[in-house]
Amino acid sequence: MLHETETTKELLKLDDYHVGFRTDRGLAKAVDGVSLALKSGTTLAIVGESGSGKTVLNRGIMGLLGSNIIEKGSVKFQNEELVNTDRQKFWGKKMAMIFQDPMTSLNPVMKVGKQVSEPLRLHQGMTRKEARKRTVELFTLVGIPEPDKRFDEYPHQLSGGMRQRVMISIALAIEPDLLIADEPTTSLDVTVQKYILDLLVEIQTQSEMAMIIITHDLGVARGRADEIMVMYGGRVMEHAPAETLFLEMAHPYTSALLSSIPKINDPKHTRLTPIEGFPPDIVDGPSGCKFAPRCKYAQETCLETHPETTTKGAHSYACYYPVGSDAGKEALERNTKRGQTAAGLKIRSKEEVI
Amino acid sequence: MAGSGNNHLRDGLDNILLRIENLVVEFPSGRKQKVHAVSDVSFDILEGETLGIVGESGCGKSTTAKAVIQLPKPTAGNVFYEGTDLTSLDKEGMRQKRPSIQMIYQDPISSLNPRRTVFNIVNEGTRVWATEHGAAQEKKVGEIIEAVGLDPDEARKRRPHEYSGGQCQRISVARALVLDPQVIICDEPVSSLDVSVQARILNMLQDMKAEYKLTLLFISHDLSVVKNVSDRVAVMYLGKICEIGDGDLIYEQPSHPYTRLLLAAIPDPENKHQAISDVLEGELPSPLDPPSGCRFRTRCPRATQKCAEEEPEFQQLEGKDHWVACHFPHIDSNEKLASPDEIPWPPTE
Repeated sequence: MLHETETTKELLKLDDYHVGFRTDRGLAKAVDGVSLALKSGTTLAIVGESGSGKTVLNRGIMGLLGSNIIEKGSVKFQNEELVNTDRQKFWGKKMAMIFQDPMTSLNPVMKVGKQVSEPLRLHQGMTRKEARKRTVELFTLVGIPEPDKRFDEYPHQLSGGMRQRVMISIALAIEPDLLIADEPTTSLDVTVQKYILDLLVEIQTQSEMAMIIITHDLGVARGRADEIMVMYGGRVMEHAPAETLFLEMAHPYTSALLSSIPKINDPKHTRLTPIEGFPPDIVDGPSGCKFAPRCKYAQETCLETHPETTTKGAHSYACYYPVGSDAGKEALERNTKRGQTAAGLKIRSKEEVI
Repeated sequence: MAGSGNNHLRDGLDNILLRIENLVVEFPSGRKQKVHAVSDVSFDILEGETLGIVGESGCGKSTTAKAVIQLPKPTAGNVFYEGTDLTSLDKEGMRQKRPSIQMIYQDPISSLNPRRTVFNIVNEGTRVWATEHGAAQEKKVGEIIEAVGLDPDEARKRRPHEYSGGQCQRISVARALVLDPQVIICDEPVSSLDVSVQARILNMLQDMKAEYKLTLLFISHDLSVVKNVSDRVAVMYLGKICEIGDGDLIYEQPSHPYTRLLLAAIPDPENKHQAISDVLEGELPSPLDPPSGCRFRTRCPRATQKCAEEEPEFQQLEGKDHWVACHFPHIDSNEKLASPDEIPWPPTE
């Protein structure tokens, strides 16, 4: 999955990164060999359903997962190896994270202004007065009206969108080199979502920081990210520049994910195409391709070994029978003829699936 | 925004199943203040039709749905179900009507009793109402559980926590269907589900609707989902309906400034309304003290003095099933893609 780029500064580089959790049943492989490279000033969107490992991957990068984990592989941030080291020295200085739920991520008994100015005083040694001034500036930057008044309010006095803006200003307070936004707009209304996403992109372009947006919504990813990475069962299924992904979609999972979403331009009562089956068990999952049991293209080879990553320029995917290729068409034809895939999934029209 | 007047109600049709007139729901909020959750909302639903209500959080869409089934009773207004005014019924009278209007809730896991088996949960209605007895009852419940795509034998043994979110939502649907209702109110039924599961639940709702001849009131904040499911769509803002009518018409040609802004915000890359560059300024006003006149005027790019003084009434557009409550709607069909400098400002009457 690595992109062979010229030696421009790679801010973050992951090579065959694994994260496992010890459980009673065995090792839960939440992230199963992810490689990627991220340059300063670019945005990567990580897309996948719940349980695909996207949050664990990013918490792994940040080092927020606690001691019950097993980490393997390599994570290099500004050329420093992070795996199995304490990453706390980066927090609040070089890396920042925006969490999914703005309602519960703020301290309810602390004024929001104080929550923003605390890292400034702690990490940048500002005085109380300077920190307040900077906080008000940040509030203005993220579009909080009456910033001076809001400084002395508590989280419950703010709406969801305002709270998320406070979270963003906390993350931006220290001008990080890497910002990870974990589903930053999932709990927000569409109009607020648009504002927050536009704001993040605007700040990112101005400040040359690198950003990772985690989302389950391909629509959010497209148009705002430079690159999109699709994850499933802890593995990278497809990784491409945003427009390439939509134009030359290669992985059956990406295509299945996209066609299961209701589109705004479709007429009413358009029948949706769901993905049959269930997400894989990460403790005792399929030995071949993780998506094979739910894939319409699945052949015998898919069940045996996980496909190697194929790379075409900046576009890479892990599939033996990619969508649109001759091999893919043949595989689909074969499965249609025998009425089921190699994994035993019945090929049914979307009307038959309940 | 909008919305006084009942011009948009369809009179003279004999297959009107639900007719909600001038529904008002207010909650006391201390210091003699009131939360104006729903103010003067009217709509009707024909038999076999799906009405989608869409709006941002806090616009009163869930409160409207709950007021339809009298939970709680609305402050004012009438809810006619098959010609009977539900608001005038006593407790027992309403109880008799409840089996025909069922509800599916947002969070599938917390709306099911964790200590009972799934079969027992679905069976509850038939047991209370004794619509069937003994083997017939068992058979009926089994059939419904099978119809929503679950295994009835497993349902006897297993409890909700042993099922996934999508399966729990299927159980909720089965529970709603078991008493042969005519109307099902779906309050954000797919909001907490993954996209691939969401597609299956939406397809299933469509199938069940056809099979059991249901009428749906479907509430969601997701505009694409509402469009997919609904025949007609009502857009709500701060306790009022601002635009109502045929789903395809509204999405093709949004006329209310708020609907346009809402559609422009959808992150679908193929969304043609993304070109609309007006911005939704400010925050939702407090429902304790809603703005005078049109409720959307404080954030509306087209608002004038008239909007503050006079509440707009519903007007029909081009004689079609498309009603908008706005003094200055975007009517010209070419205008929807116009750049903001071409939109007259201030709007001329």
